[in-house]
Amino acid sequence: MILLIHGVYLIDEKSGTNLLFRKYGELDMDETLISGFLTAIRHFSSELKREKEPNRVQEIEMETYKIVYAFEGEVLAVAIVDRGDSTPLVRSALKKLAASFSNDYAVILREWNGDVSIFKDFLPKLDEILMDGKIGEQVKKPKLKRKLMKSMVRIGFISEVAFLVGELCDGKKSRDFIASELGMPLEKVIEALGELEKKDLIEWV
Amino acid sequence: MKFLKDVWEYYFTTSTGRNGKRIIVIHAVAPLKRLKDLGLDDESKIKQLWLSALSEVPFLSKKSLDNSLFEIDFGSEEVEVRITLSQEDIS
Repeated sequence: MILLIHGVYLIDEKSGTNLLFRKYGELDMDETLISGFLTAIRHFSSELKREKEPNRVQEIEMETYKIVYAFEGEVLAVAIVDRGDSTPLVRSALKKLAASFSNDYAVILREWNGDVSIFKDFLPKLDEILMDGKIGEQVKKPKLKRKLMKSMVRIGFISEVAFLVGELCDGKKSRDFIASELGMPLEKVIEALGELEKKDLIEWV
Repeated sequence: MKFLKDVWEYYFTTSTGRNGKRIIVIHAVAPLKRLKDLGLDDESKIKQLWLSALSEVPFLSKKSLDNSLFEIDFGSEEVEVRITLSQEDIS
């Protein structure tokens, strides 16, 4: 299973205070520690990719991960994603997220007393915008790394379902599309993709 | 202690070191009594705690931790820690 967003932070840009955090996936994160780093790293401007906002960080690529930033008003939305993931997609979602948060809490933030618990109500909206952290599944699609053979099923190397699913993994079809094509529940397709992934037979492109 | 923030107050600053390299400094303070209650009563244990927490940060490499500068000051009531990391080691 792919997971695009590992963690998301909404940070007060002026103070660097972590307003809201949502973790997806299994990375164990000390949210305050990481938000501190995210803010600090952002100050190193020379390694930044600049787009329309010349003084603001858009993205920082690390060895394994990528940090994607988006701004709206006083709110900085930051996501930690896998390095190979689509930055435009994440940025677009983060911009929407920061705008929505700014809109909902603009008045409160003006006279905010530092209590971050009041922002928890925003979590359902955050999950909706980021599709529970699986927003990347809109773009990443499974692709076979090598041809499947019927003998793989016969010798028990892969299941029949995995074979059927694998045959449709051409890098263009989403898992939803594959499920619908095969008339199979999505959960079953996900399971089959997991099986193929474990056997190193597919990649996500 | 589940998270550092449960005991420590800390903040980050960025700067340029004497060698011209950019650095991130974590400044942290904790009540000495609280640390003693948690069995964190000497420098090596406190250092171990911080390095352990930092090792969980996904974009901090082992190299960045190996090269970090750890400084600790024991006051009468508080313990202050400064951890300096080179920006170029963060990847």
